[in-house]
Amino acid sequence: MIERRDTCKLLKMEGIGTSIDTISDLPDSVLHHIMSFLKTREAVQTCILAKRWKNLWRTLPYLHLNLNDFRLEKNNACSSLDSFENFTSNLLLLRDPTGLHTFQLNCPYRLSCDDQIMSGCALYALRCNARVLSLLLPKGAALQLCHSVFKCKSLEDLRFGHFDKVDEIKLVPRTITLPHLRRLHLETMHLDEDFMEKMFLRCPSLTDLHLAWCVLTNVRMIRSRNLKFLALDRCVFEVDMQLIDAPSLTKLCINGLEAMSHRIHITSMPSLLKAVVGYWSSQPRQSVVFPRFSNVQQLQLKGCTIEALLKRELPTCPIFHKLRRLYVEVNCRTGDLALTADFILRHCPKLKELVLSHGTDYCCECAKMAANVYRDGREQKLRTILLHGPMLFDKITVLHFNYCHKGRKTPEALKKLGIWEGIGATITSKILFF
Amino acid sequence: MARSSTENMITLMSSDGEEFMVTEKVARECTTIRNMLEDDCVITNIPLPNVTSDILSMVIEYCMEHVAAAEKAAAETAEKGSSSAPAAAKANKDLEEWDKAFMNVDVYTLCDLILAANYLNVSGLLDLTIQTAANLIKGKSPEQIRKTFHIQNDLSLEEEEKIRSQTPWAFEKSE
Repeated sequence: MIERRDTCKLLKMEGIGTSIDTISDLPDSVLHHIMSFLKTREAVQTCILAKRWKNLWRTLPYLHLNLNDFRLEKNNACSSLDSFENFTSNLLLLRDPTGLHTFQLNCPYRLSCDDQIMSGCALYALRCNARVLSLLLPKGAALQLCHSVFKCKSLEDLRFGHFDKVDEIKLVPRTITLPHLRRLHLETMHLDEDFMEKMFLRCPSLTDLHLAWCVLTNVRMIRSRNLKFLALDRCVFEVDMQLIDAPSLTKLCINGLEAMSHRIHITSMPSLLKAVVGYWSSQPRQSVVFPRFSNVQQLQLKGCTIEALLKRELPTCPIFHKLRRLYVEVNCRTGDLALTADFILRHCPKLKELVLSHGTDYCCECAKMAANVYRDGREQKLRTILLHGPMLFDKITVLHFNYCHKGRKTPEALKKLGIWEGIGATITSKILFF
Repeated sequence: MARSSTENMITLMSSDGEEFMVTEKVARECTTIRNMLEDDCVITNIPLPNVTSDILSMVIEYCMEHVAAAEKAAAETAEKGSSSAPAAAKANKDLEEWDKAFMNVDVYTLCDLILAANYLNVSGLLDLTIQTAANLIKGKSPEQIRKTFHIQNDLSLEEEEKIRSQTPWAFEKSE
């Protein structure tokens, strides 16, 4: 086949010559597809290549407009914003308004941005019946769009947010009509019970819900039959007790809940494959969640309260018969490691892969713990231990594991630290360093 | 006729009349062919009048490699109960390397591959070829792009100037 390819190349080079312009013979849809991988400005600039390309940009259905692509030399923020606004408004004015598939408007800039222009651009996308819409805007512009984005019937994928992390927008759209919406990602919004109820009711196709930096007032439950993926990332709940009832979930991610006295009750989720728990409250009255996760294949524990979390969960912890991969972000508590080891040895009989992500100071402890777990758990299936994080090789140099791995410095470095014996030569091959 | 224990073979015929025997599994990588097979399951000979033999052989090479990689991963999962992430990551990386080497072709072949992948609807190959073409355009001046793809500039100097002056907002100087 290689020979054939070469002959074909030769034939074209010699025979018909180099004048054949195959790329321009490609149909519009294919050229648009190629242009969708370019920055939109680069895509527009193809208009001077040849007649074939002159008007292609006008019908390009994928627009990715990022202020960051317009950063000028010397970081002059004002003029880059000007040039971004100028480009965006001209593009939308002059392009053919039919057939817009993807529209991304990313303007991470708070000051002196013309809200009217930004919200106008987003409204244009809504009028064109875009299917994938991603709007990350300054607060003023986002505020103007609150009503319109939730009644765009063509939307399948919506990301809507703004950049003022401390100042949420209260989301009270007059109507929600998103019959085809599958993915919804909201950032820095203030959501109430009424919104959540309406949203689940009026978005019947919704399977992915991602809420980041959101405040939820009076939302006592998140209930959906269809939801497959739910992420609550650094959200604040302003109620004491929260119920998550989503029996079809396959992936659940709860990260950085801020309400410290907050309790979450999770109903049965038989199809759950992956759970991520992070920064959970250390309050003793926090409800236990591990019994609900007993079917998962992957479990990720992160944040600064691993010790508290495990202390609370271990007494009632079920056996995780299907758990294959455990990821633990070890923090500055030795209890984290001891309890993690305990959890693995007593509750995870099928664990194959353990990842310990750690800070600089804890690499030795992690290596030791990994060695112990490997030794004590030899009956188990545990095959791979990954240490993930920077490693302190001596007092001065901090090296990343992957650098040392190539230079085969790892054993020597570990010997120097006096933990080589603890690990033992037979195991080192099983402990991978990243 | 009873189904033989070996896999069904399908003959694909290129525009220049060359025949390629492939397993049904490989042929099914092409969504267009898969749809044909689903409509008519006894079909064994498929003419592809839009694809030349040299390009078809490359498409088949791509599909075979990806089917083999998927089968290998599935076999490992079945053997060990589940695939380990490092092994899967390595296999993925190998396949990526293979893809990269596979894309070491001239722009004519690349464009023909894009057309074939588009017509046969091989989504992986389409993404790969389109991304490769886009990478050849990224960060280049119009003159460099024309040279790379042998695009004949049929615009007169005046016409080019006119387009530039009509769309000054697209050509503002930036980093």
